[in-house]
Amino acid sequence: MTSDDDPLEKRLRRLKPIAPSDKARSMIARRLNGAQMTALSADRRLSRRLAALVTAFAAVLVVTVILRSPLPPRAVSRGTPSRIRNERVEDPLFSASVAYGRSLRLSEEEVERVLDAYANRFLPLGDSGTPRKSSVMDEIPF
Amino acid sequence: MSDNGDWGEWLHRHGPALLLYARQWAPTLVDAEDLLQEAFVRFWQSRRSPEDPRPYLFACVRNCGIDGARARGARKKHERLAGTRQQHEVWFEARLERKETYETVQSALSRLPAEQREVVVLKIWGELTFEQIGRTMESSPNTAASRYRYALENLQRDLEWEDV
Repeated sequence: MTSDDDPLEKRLRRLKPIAPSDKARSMIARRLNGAQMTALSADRRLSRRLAALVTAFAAVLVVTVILRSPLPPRAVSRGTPSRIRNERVEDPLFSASVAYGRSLRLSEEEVERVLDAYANRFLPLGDSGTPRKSSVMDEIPF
Repeated sequence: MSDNGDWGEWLHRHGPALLLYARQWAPTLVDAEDLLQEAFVRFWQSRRSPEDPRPYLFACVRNCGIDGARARGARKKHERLAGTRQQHEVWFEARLERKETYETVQSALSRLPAEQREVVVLKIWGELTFEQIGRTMESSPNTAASRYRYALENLQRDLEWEDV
């Protein structure tokens, strides 16, 4: 009775239901396109938020790494920091070093740190076991 | 193929059966097309969720039809209307040589109980299996098969009577 060969079923199958009108098709197209645009703009908003989050995380990471990096050993027993600094400011070679450092995009403090590192390594010690008091730059083998 | 092309293909292939199915809950052709739009958009936005999208597509039409009827608070009225008022609207393509045929069949279909009419539409024009019909109508395949058998018996009797 219900097999595919049933004459009634064949008779029914021959009938073709009316297709949706062009108006219905265009309405569906409009609604689907609208939904697609909404989804796209939501995706874009999400992407922007993710990018901002990643940037902020990267910035925090960089700052953390910089703050945790070990400082080079500073020169010791060469007077108070302010005295050393005064000497350096007056030293034309130091000024030149700072200027050269700027061209390498180094700050004055970074130049100082480099100079300190060199001074620590190469300055000969005096009788008291402290580095010989002299212009720091005289001793640096550039 | 792009997504837009895909939905056009789906609508081209299943549109007529979907519209006929939508008419089970809609009093007029315009209402049925509105229902179809809503259901098709819902289906398209979530078509990747179900394993078998075809029964899901018809289920979307069914759910939208039931929701719409409930919203209007007149589900039974519209089920009845689907079988009465739509007699004046054409369900099938009008071909002169078959005018009597489609009018007779439409008339016989509209007199079927709603569940039997649904199963016939899904089986004959939706080309779903009883398993898929069961999923669409949230019933067992056996229930779908028995409803279909009763529907064909009723149609057979009706059409024989009409032919006389």
